[in-house]
Parts: sequence; structure tokens; C-alpha cells
Amino acid sequence: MLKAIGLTKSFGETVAVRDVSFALERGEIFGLLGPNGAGKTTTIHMLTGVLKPDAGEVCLDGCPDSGRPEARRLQGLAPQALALYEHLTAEENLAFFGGLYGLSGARLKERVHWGLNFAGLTDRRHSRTHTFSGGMLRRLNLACALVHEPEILFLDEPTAGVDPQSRNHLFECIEALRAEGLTVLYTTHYMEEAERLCDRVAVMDEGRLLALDTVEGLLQRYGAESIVTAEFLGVPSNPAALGGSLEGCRLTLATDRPLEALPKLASAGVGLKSLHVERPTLESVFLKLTGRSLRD
Amino acid sequence: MRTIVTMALKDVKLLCRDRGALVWVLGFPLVMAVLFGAIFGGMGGDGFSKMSVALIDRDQSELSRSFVAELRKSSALNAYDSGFTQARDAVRTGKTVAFVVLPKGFGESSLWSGSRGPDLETGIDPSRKAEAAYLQGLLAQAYFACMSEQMRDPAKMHKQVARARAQISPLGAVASGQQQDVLALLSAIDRYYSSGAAPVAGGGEMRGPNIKSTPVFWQQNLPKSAYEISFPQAIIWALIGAITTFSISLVRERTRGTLLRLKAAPISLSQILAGKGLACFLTCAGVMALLLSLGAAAFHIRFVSPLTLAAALCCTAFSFVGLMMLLSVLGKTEESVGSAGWGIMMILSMFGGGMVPMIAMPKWMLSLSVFSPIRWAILALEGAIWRGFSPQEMLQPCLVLLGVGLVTFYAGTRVLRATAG
Repeated sequence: MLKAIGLTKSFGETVAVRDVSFALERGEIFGLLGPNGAGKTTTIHMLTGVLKPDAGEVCLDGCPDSGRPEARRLQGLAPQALALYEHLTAEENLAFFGGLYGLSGARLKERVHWGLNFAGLTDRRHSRTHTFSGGMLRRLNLACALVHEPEILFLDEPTAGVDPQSRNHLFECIEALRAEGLTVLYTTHYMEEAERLCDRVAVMDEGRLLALDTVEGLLQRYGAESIVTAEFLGVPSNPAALGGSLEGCRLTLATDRPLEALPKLASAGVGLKSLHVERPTLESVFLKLTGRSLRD
Repeated sequence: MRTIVTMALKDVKLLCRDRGALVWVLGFPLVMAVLFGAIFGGMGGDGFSKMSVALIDRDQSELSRSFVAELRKSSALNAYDSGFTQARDAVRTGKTVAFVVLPKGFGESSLWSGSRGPDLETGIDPSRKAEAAYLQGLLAQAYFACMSEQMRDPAKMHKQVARARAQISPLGAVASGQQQDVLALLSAIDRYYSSGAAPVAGGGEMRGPNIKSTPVFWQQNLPKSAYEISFPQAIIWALIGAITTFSISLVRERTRGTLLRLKAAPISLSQILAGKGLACFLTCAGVMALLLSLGAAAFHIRFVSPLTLAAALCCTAFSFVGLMMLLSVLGKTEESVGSAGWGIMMILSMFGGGMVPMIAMPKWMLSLSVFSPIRWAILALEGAIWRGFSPQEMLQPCLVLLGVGLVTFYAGTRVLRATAG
């Protein structure tokens, strides 16, 4: 549906994005995962036509130049900053942004009503947005990006500064949108969000796209082995047969097939007190790809 | 176009909801206009409330001097002696509201003048209908006060009766059958005043002065009141407030991320800027119209013609839209643009007549003022108010304002385009 081909963008001496290419499939949630300054936002701005790439191009439905008015009507952008007018009410913000996309009359009214309902702000429709909480603003920010019914939604760090409860509400909203067939490009530096929401994830760092696959695929290709920690009721009689390292009654074992370790543990000769399997995460994928932690 | 209007309406709505900005755009200039208008000769004491009247006493009789003294006593008039030519010029130039001529023979009018009172001539601009009527009332009041004073003086009354006796027959005001009765009445009055009894006022069919009004057209090349200077100045401050607010709002669109959202919408940067410009234009024109309407309603500001006024308002508003665009690129934050905007506009205003009226500027300052768009805006507004510019005369300030608007708008939008990506 959307293709980024060799996108490159520099700001003065700084190269923000280097030769980034990927393609979004219709109906998927595509994650751009990377730390702050990785080039995610610049990539989104080039995809939406807000920034002109120095090199490369963006094709939407096979047509180049995503900045065309017709292409823009198919896109919705919820920027990282809460791009709302604080002296306008929730309803007026939705109506204003809907109007910019050519909605008017009954259709605009209907979409504004939908947006208020989607953001859970029907009761506060006449309140100016400067009276809203962070979560309410985020939801309205998202609703403003959807009021004109885009086919592809760009979400730039939509959970920044949001409390866990509002974050869950946002996740549910996004999952509902996926169920309706909307294509979403989602940037985040939270691996948990990418793991929960994204069908495919592109890992970015320092303007480069380092890897792109499904979460499972990334974990398999770049994730380390799972860590199995078993605590026995006594000291096993044949620790060498179990593998791993034994400290008192606690055995730690690294394996890419944790299930296959279970029969060995059962034959240790002593009963199991507890068993914990820690799967590799995108954090470990990032660590493996860049040599540093995602949160550094 | 609908998108531009949507953008503009949003900005006007935002301005109306920002009370702080509204104070600078409307409240402060209005207070300034009224305050400075009052300070420089508007209200109170000897100012606006007293009607200035030049008196030309050609009769120099006892009655005329008494009448002039009565007029001078009036708290509603600022009456002063003058020659006829000077008085007429003073009315023409708006320095004096009216003149009053007491013609020769004024003192010959008697208590019993038949159907005709004493002659008076006034000169006043025909458009000043209220003042003319007010003046006629004051003249009648002064005349009756003067006659009452005469009735208290037996010596003067003897003279009055003698004059009335002499006038009754030639005037033919009294039917011949009644002449004897009237003469008997006058003899009785004469006897009454000779008896030494306490004099009383009244008696007879007293006639007020016969006022003949001469139209003297005001040339309108001087302000009629200080408000005609203070309101254009206040308008400039209102416009400065408006464009500073809009230039800050343009920066705010960038810093708050809404500009990004607008740029992602299916509209061009030109449309975004046109929307902002239209909002600024509508606000400037609206504020000017509102302040001038208030000035006209409350302080009698007059306009030469709707056409020159409309031209002045449109060109001034357009010029300030351009200045707004340029100001908005002078900084990257709201604070820096706000400070730079006010700073620059203060200087332009200082040399352009926004602080010191052009009419009171020293020559060197007046020469410098040609470089300030404020000067041309004030000139256009004053041209439409009291300078009485013809359409040809209005052309120069309007063209300068349009030029300033075009150049600054172009420069501002160029920089905005470059910096906005």
C-alpha cells in the first residue's frame, strides 16, 4: 500500500535518515522501533509529505509523491506533540480538522460525532481542550487524525506522557482500528508496545533501518536464547547432565528450546520448587543489533 | 477558498477567546484614544463641552454690550470678541464653532417691536445642526435675560417705552383701531416706572431676536477635536496588538505542532499562510471599523467619504498583514517574536506618528517618518477623517501601504517557506 524507497534526509551536517526502504501492507500495524533520535519522526514526515526527502521516494498505492492532495486525503497523522488548539473545544477541533479535509454539512457532523465517541469525549464536547487531562488530549489527538476516515494512519509516539490506564485505552482503540482494516504505522521506543500491537517491526537506529520482520521473526533471528530458571527442593545429584550453571538449589539454563529442557529437569532426582522461563525480547534484539540498550 | 476561510475563522475565533490579546487589540487602544483625546483638549472644563463662539458687535449700543456680556456669562459658551473676517476664517478652519454678528441698529430694538425682534446674524457650518440649534437657544436666552435686566431699570424702561411709541405707527404692527389702546398701555407702563414702585420684569408682547444664519462651510483641513487625532493613533496601537498576536500565533502553530498537522492536510503552505493573512486582515479591518464607529458615535468623529475611508481601511489592513508575516519570522519562539514585534513596531510608531501626532512633530522627525509605514497608515486614516483627502490625494498613502504590504508579505512568506520545510 505504501512504499518507502531509499529515503534519505539531512538537516545541515546531520543525516537524520539514511537510505530507508520498506513497504506497508494494507491492514497491518507496522512498527518503527528505535530510541529517540533514531529517525522515526523524520521518516514519518517524509512518508506523509510534510518533509521532502533529499533522496528516495514514497509511493502510495503505486503512485509516487505522497504529498499530493489526493494522497494526503488517504492519510491521517497524529503527531507526537499534541497538535490541538487549546482555546477551541473538542468538537471545534474535530470540526476544524475535518473541514480541512473537505468534510462539510451533515457528513462533517456525523464524523465529529464519531470522533467524540471514539475519544470518549462526548460529554466534554463543549469543553475547551486546555481543561483536558493528558489521556483525553491523546485520544482527541488520535480522533482528529481519523475524523476524515483515512486509509492509513501515522501514529508518532502516541503514548508519550500517558498514564497506564489511558495507554491501555489507546491500545484498545488501535486494535479496534486494525480490526476495521485500517493500516497503521506506529512509532515507539517502547518495545512492549511494539510487541503487543505490531504485526511487523522495523528496528531503526541513527537513521538506519537495521532489521525488519515480524516480532517472532526478529526474536528468532536476533533475539538471544530463552533463560530457564529452575529451583529444586534439594541439590540435584547429577548437575552435569542438566547443563547450565547450578548455584545451591537454583539452576540457570540458556536454551533456544525451553520445552526440550523440561524432561531433563524432571529427571534431576529432586522435586521442582519453581520454574521460570524468560523469553528473549525486542530489547535483546536491539542489544544484539546495536550493542547497546534501547533505553540508553 | 473554503479551506482558507476555515483557517481564517479558526484564527479569529482563537483571538476572540484570548482575553489577554483582546485587551491589547481593543481595550488598550480604546482607553488610549479616549484618554489622549481628553488630555489634548477633549472633555471637561474649557474643552469639548464649551462651544467656542466669536462675537462681532457692530452696534456698540448699550443693549448690544449688555447682550454680549450676557453671552460671556454663559457656562455653555466660550465667547470672544473678534473681527468679521477672522471670525469667518476661524469657523472655516474649525477653530471656532460659530460666529455671531450684532448688526447696527440691534440696540434700537424695543420692548414692543411688533412681529419682528432684533436682528442677529450667525455663521456656522450647515452640517453642525445640533450646535446651530443649541446656539440659537443660547442667543434667545441671553436676549431675554438682557431685556429682563432692562426692565428692572426705570431709566432704561423710559427709553424703551419712548422707542416703542415711535415704532408702533411706522411698523404697522398694531391695527389702527388698537393703536390708542396700545399707546395708553405704554403710557401706563411709563407712569408705573415713574412712580418709584418696585420694577418688575415682563409686559408687552416681547419678541426674541430675529436670527439670520449664514452657512460657513468648514474646510476640514484641521481636526475638529483632539479625538480625530487620538483615534487614528489608537487604531495604530490596535493594529500593532493584532499583528503581534497573529505573528505569535503563527509561531505557536510551529512550536505546538499544529502547523505540522496543517501541512499534512491536503492544503498547500500558501493556503495556510493565506488563511492566516485573511484572519489578520479581517481582524485589522474589523478593529478599525469598530474603533471608528465608537469614535463617531461618542466623540463626533466625521468621515469625508465612505470611499476614501474604505480605501484607507483596506490598504492599512493589507499593509499590516504583510508586517505580521515579516514579524512572525523574526524569532523561533513565541517570546522572541513577541518581543521583537513590539520593539520594532514601537520604533516605527514613534517615528510614524503613533506616539507624537504628525501635526505636532518637529520637521526632522517628520522627514524621517516617511520611512515608517505607520506614518502612511495614519495619513490615510486622517485623510479619510479630518484632512479631507480627495481620491487623488488618498492615492499616495494607499499605494505606499499596498507596496509595504506586498514587500513584507513576500519577504515573510519566503522565509516561512524556507524554514517550514
